[in-house]
Amino acid sequence: MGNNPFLSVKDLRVEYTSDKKAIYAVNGVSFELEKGKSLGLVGETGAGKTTIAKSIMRILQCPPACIKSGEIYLDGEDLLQKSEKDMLEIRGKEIAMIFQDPMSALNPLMTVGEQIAEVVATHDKSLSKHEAEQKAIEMMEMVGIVGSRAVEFPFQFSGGMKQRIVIAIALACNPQLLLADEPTTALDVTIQAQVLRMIKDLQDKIETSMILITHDLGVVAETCDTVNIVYAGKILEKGTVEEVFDAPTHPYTRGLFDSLPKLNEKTDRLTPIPGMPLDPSIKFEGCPFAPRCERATDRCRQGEIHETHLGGTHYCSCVLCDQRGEA
Amino acid sequence: MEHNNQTVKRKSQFAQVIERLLTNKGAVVGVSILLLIVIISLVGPLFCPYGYNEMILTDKFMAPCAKHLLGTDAYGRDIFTRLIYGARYSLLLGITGALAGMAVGIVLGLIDGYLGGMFDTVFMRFLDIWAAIPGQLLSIIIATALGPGFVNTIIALSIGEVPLVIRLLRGQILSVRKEDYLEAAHSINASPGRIMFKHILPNVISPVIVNTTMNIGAIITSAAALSYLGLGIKPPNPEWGAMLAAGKSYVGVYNWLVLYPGLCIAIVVLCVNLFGDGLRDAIDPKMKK
Amino acid sequence: MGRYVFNRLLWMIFILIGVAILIFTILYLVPGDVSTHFLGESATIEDRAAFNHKYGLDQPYLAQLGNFLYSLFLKGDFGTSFKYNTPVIEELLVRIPRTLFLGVSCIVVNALIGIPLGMMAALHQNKWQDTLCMVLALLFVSVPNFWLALEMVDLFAIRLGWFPPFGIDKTTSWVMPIIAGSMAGVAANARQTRSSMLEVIRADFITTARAKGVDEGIVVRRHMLPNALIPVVTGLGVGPSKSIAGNVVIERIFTIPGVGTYMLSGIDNYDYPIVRSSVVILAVFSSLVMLLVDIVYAIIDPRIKAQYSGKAKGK
Repeated sequence: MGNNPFLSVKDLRVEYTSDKKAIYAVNGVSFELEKGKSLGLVGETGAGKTTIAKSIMRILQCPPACIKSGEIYLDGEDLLQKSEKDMLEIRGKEIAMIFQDPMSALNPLMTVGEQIAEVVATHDKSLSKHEAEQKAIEMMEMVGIVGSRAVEFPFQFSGGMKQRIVIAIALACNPQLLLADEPTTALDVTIQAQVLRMIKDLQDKIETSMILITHDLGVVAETCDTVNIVYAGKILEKGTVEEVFDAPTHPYTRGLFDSLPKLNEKTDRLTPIPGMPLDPSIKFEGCPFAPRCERATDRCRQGEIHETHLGGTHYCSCVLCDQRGEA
Repeated sequence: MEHNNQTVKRKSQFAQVIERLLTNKGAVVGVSILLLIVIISLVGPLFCPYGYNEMILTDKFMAPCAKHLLGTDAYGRDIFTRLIYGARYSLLLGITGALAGMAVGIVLGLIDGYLGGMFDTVFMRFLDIWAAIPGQLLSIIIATALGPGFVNTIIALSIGEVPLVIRLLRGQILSVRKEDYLEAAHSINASPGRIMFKHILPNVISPVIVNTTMNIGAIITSAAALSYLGLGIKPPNPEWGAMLAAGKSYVGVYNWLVLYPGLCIAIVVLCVNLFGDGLRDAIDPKMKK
Repeated sequence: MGRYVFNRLLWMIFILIGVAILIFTILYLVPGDVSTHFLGESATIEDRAAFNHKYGLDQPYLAQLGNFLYSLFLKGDFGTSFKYNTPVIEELLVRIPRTLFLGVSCIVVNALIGIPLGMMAALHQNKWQDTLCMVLALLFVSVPNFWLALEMVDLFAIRLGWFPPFGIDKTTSWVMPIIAGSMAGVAANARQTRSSMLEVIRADFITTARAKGVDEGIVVRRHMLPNALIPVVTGLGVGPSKSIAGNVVIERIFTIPGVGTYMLSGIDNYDYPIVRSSVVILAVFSSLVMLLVDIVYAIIDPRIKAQYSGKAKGK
């Protein structure tokens, strides 16, 4: 990869504490993202995707969620070393986030205009109240809502409209990095494509980098340049969309693809991945997917599993490809 | 979390609530002290050297001492003995008052929820009137009308609780009515009575129980207040509120006459509240977080 | 909004008529003959009949009720005291401000102390501040206010002489009644504020606000507090009506010549016109406070406001 990646996350570890029990949410995640590109984080619910995004923004509340170790470099600066005051400057301006559930992501007691204007005014103190509101109306029009509705309250909008407002808030300050946390999951299927298209278009327009969190491989194929497959707080496979989609290597990635319906093949039944995700309160050794993997060997359950370079930017953390690489 | 899910599911909901309740220190302390008070109030009289109404005229207004642990009152009656006898009034009034209010409220609430429609409209208007008179005031008026006495006091105390219980139950029934499992019950031709008691009541009863438990403390206080005003349990019965009323003229002079009965009320109410809070957290663990 | 308030006021009148009927009926059913109490056992049958006739007590229930409602609501006549033979309204007018002052002061103290306590507890959840606030709240709800009042009289009035033990002659006379009267409300407000703050702290829109880079202090003030206060205001609606009407015992302990003591004296003397009118007045206060709370509620919550102003839900 490039010498100076725009965003680089190194060995990130996050733990939650609940009733004095530790929940290992993110277990040594490393990845990089080039400027202007988009990365898909794919995995099941509870795999730690949202926690990764919130760690980058440093909006995890500690306790219960504490970043145990790792480095997060944005434009060469480690975000985890920054003071809370510096982070206030970065949040909303350099890094912005779109949340999963638009129904609850907006303050019910403030007009949507005020909520968009708030982020604008926070990061540009020179603006008057009126100018910030003007900018808010501009943003609303940009996401396809009539500006005159800025004085309305969230309850007066539908789910899809609310998500547009959330997107408007996220993009209001032209962030360099956009974290989109399952931005379409809570929406009607008919609106999902629309909203996704809009995010993609706006991303191109303001040339921002994006991390798209999803469990939908189809969305990744459409939207992203690179993809990371996340399982139990670890990245099992990563590469460009072409590399991973053309040659899924990790058994978990393959399982994900097998559980999708294919248009060009005639299958009676989809193949689900057997078993349940790992209990995150148990510290595992070896490959987290081993308990569900039909090809697992004793080697999978012990020691560190190394990333194997499969060519290009394609990496896979599996004993099987490790052996193949050695052979 | 995942691994003990299966074992937990097999236990009944009741057992789960008890289990959670036992992990709540406050609730355990509260219940233990209450049990102790109950035992003392039942067994204590056997060991008391004095009768609760035994007047020792030579011992008037004695300060707490070895002979009279908590002193004596204007008639030379032993305060400690009277407090032990009085415990039963407070506990019984509080618990039966709360239960009576809850029972009447549940019956009326279920009838209302069952009939709905026109009856509901009229009944709710009536409730508005009922609830427009603040509870304590209504208790005072009812107690005035019925006159003093144990049963009358219970009626007076519980009557203010009823509208709250009905409202709570009605709100729950309305929200539960839309649920799919009722649709399912209707679709297999379950009788309305069966639906009411088998399907609706179990699903709406928890908030009512929690509410009732949390009200016991307030009812004990109200009972003491009524007696204090001379409308509840009348002297010479050793009700704590009545003892306060008898002692109030000696405030600043013989302060033990007021201090100890009040302290008893406060301790019992505190324990009941500890238990009520614990029960609420145990029944609805979400609220604790 | 204006229309909503008008409708509510109209509805309040019906409620109050209902309250009047209810109270009249309850007191009508009290066993015993009022005239016996006032004229004594030795009074002749003629004297009693004259007494009953004078106050219309010889008429059937419905006639008495109709008469009572007619004078109360159409003529504004609150009746005449059996004992003092003076119009009840005169005495009430003198006493109402005192009861209102006590009640309103209690509400203000409830909010001013209870809400910050609850906020502090929630913002420091599971730390010592939280424990302290919640232990205090638990003590405050558990200690009977009339006992606390008596103990305060003992300590602060009689032993230390800081405040007058009874009456309303001095400004300081009000200190102890207000403290005793607001204690339970402070506790209730603190608990309510804490639990609704905890709910809001976890809300997604707080994360949104933090993600905007908004300073934490502003997040608390602009986003958490207004949302957390909505249920608290609803709770306040029950509290004040309790404060205004429930200070009856407090009034008696401190011998405050308010509506509450007036009512109790009416009860002691079988002077039912006094009791009826006092209860109706106290019900008026508590209904008004509830209405006020609902209006405040509508002002701070745009969702409710839209409902009441009949504005179409824009979609």
